[in-house]
Amino acid sequence: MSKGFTFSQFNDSFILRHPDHDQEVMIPIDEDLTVNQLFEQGLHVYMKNFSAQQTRNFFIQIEQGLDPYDEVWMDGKLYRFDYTQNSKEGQEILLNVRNRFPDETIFDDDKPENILSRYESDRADYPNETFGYYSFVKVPDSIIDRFGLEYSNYDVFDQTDQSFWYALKFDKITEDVKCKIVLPLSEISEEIRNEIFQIIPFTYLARDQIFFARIHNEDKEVSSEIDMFFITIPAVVNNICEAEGLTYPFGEYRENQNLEENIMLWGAVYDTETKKIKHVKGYARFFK
Amino acid sequence: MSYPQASFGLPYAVFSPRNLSLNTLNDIYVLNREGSLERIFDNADMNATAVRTWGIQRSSTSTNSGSFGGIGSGTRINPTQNTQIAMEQFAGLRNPSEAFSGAMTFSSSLTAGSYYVPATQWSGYNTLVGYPIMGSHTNTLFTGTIGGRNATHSLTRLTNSGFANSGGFGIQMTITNTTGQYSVTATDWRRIEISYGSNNAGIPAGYPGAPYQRTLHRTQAANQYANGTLAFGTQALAAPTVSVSTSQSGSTTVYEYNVFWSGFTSTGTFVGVPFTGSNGYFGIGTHTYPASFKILL
Repeated sequence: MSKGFTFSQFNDSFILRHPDHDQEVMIPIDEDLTVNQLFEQGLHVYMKNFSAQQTRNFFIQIEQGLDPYDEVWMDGKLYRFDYTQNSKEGQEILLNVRNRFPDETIFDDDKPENILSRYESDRADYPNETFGYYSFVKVPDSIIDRFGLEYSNYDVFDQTDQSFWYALKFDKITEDVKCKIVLPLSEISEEIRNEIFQIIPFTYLARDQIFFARIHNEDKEVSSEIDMFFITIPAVVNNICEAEGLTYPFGEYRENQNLEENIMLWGAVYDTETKKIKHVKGYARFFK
Repeated sequence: MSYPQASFGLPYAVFSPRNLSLNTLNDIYVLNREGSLERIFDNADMNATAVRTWGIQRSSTSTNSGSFGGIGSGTRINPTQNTQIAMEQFAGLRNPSEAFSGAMTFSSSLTAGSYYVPATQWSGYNTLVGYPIMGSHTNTLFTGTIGGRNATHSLTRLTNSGFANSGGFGIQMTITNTTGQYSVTATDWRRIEISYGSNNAGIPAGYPGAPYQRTLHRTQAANQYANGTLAFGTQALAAPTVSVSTSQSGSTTVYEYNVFWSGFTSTGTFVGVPFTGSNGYFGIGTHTYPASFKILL
């Protein structure tokens, strides 16, 4: 499976290219490695560079004092905006959700980077209009107890207490509250990881930046759906969507190049019961 | 049409005058390391500043000093347009044997994780916006051919970085220009040298007998000597990968040439990123500060 990549030999090296991107990677031939292993090594560097470029663009905008917001697309439609608490839109949603859920303690005025959203979707786990509040702090014991979380590591990138976030999702109609806990790869069973990587091959992803999320409710039940978040080039996601009979998140591939050029993250919703990917989401990051 | 051929190894400048008029040399070619002729100027005007500058940069230190005025071989080329200039002044010019030779300082930084981006540790020298600006270098520009591109290049990065407290560390060197794409298959540079003066603070030497110098070869893993023996460890790390790409700086397209020496698994190994230290180090421990840096062509 090449997903559109070409891997051609030139003297003592292989060159990895994709026709839709201007990046090229040269991998010296190591006689102890097979061509497949060299191809994987090339993909690793390719995705690492791609991810680094996206991150760099992000920090350039942040350094200019701009505020990020994400357009989250799914099934070819704009599904929601994610705003920072620092933004006018974020403040409006915060006011709304605080009025409806006055006893919640997740809201933190000292964290302007926290994220707010308001959306409706056809996802089974979010049947009604929903508010979301993402907090970039270590998940507190009160949340662990309330939702019956039983994970041993909540550091999203396994960085020893450096990268945490979790969300509460507020159902505007039923007033149910759910916890979306974000987890490192190590907290998902090897069996499930392998099932997902059969569909979304690990080698085509920025391998150090894969993380997961699970949804728990206050009855301490966990959803059968798992979100896997990952970074790769749009062509790979389009290829996966075609293979799985899914709609590419941004509509037709290459139709919305502004979204593809600003892709920050992809999310796949995997159903552990049907063992299928239900949706793929694209997070396109913009600034203002 | 036949071109002059080199009788010795190093690249040198030659002319291929066609349709020579009063002040027009149609093309200027350079014999590159691969032995093929590379066109440096197309329809060059001998009076042009770029041609004069090109000649000056390839003059020897001795000829590129003193007073102007001569027109013979080995006389100083006047950089000012509409001053006297002669073809013979370009005879014997040589391409440079090194690039970006200068004094480099290093620093370190920790970028906190945010908005789905992992925390990242950095050390070294960097001027690329979007990454921590660190260290300094006294000679950031080089005009000539490197990475398969004849241009004025900027040395923008020599860093050791990786996600905080995790694997994936490695050394990244980046050279940029604003005129055209690089080539991943270019062989026009051999290695970089970083010399530390009076101590190497445990950093493995580039060569036996050069204990204060670290070399990183274009074709060899970071822990491998030129003769193939290992600087440390029992197994060679992966040989460097080269990648080329573009980025935007406002309305300007920036072409990037990246070399990545991989294989470091933790912050504490070899040139691991130090977590503390007022100056930061491109390596473990302390060393004389600054270091001298150059790329050997």
